[in-house]
Amino acid sequence: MSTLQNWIWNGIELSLPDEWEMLQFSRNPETGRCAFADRYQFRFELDWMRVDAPPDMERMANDYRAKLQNDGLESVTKTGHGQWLGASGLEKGVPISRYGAFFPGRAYILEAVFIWAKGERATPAFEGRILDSVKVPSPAPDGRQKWRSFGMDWTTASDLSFDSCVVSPGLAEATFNNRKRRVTQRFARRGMLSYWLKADVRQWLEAQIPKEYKVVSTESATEEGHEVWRLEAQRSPSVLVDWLHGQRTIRAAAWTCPEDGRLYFVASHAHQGKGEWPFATLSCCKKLEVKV
Amino acid sequence: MKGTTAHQYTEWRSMLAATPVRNEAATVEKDTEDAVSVSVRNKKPGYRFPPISWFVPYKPVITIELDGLGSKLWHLCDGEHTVEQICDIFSKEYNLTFHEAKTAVTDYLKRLIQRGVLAIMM
Repeated sequence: MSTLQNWIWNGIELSLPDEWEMLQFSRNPETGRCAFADRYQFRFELDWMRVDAPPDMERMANDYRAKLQNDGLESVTKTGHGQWLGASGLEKGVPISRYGAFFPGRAYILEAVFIWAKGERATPAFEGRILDSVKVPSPAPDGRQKWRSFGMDWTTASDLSFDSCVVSPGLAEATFNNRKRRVTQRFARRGMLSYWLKADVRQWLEAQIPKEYKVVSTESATEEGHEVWRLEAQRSPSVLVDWLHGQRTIRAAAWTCPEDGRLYFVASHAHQGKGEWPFATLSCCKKLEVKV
Repeated sequence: MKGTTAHQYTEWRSMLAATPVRNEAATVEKDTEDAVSVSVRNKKPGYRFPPISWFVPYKPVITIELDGLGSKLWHLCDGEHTVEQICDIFSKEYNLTFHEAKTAVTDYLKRLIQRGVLAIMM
């Protein structure tokens, strides 16, 4: 089997074969799903749902098996691995294994679904290896959320919610906001630079700043073999809300990673002067973590 | 726990095994490594009669200008390469994941097929 790649999404950590890519995802922390595929078909799905109290998993798994049988799952067999309880069988000729478990750290019920190819047989050892990698740690005491996906590792403050995520060929960008949108953080990774990047990184970074902002400082430094450009910009002229909450400021950084040749971008938009500056970091590889 | 979802059965093996070919009736006006210009005859739609045609004129030949990506794709659509092989070439050349390359290639192929420049052999 190929090597495993680690993912962290919505506080859930797991390791999957590195040729499996996330093709579907939800941003909702209460209930949602991520689906992963190899080059030919969907292979794995992870569903989560937050519950108010620990469920009776044994009973839930029995009810679920009965429901699957009623829904047409053939050759249903009871399966399990550690705390995971489940069922496997054939859905329209496709071998499918479904496992469920409760994780008290975030009060999540998780369902892991393995979808095998027609003609393949489910391999419990492989499924067990993936299930063993699933971890749902309690929220960090320092209030930071860690995410790892689309080739990026990023950290954001826990009071920010996942506002949007754009994924297209050569582009992945995640945006987080707080409730009143006074803090916005963006994390992006862009590829195919030879195709579209016609300026240097500094010019590109400055072009990301909205027109109503004025760049007050730009600097570059070589960090772990990466030339990182950083800038700070302030809204100019200020508007009334800036007088109330502090100068609206953007701190941003951009660089290309020599390992994968992609352009990375992290930006934090907030009012400066009142309270701590919102924490944001982005890593492109194990060597470098950039904080803005 | 949730029920069965239809996408679990989505698979694109047959699409990846298909082979795109150029339309033999297309005329190549310009052919360099990073720019290709192709002309194809445009079938006159039944509704293109006056007064509609006064406002939306009918062009018997349409010319499609391909950028660097499109030109590369055009050159690979030689009837020899499958969609999967083309995706692998794009993935390697532009350092993309397989699905990133697949999305880019299939979107482009779809547009060129709709314009009559390419066809697909299954």
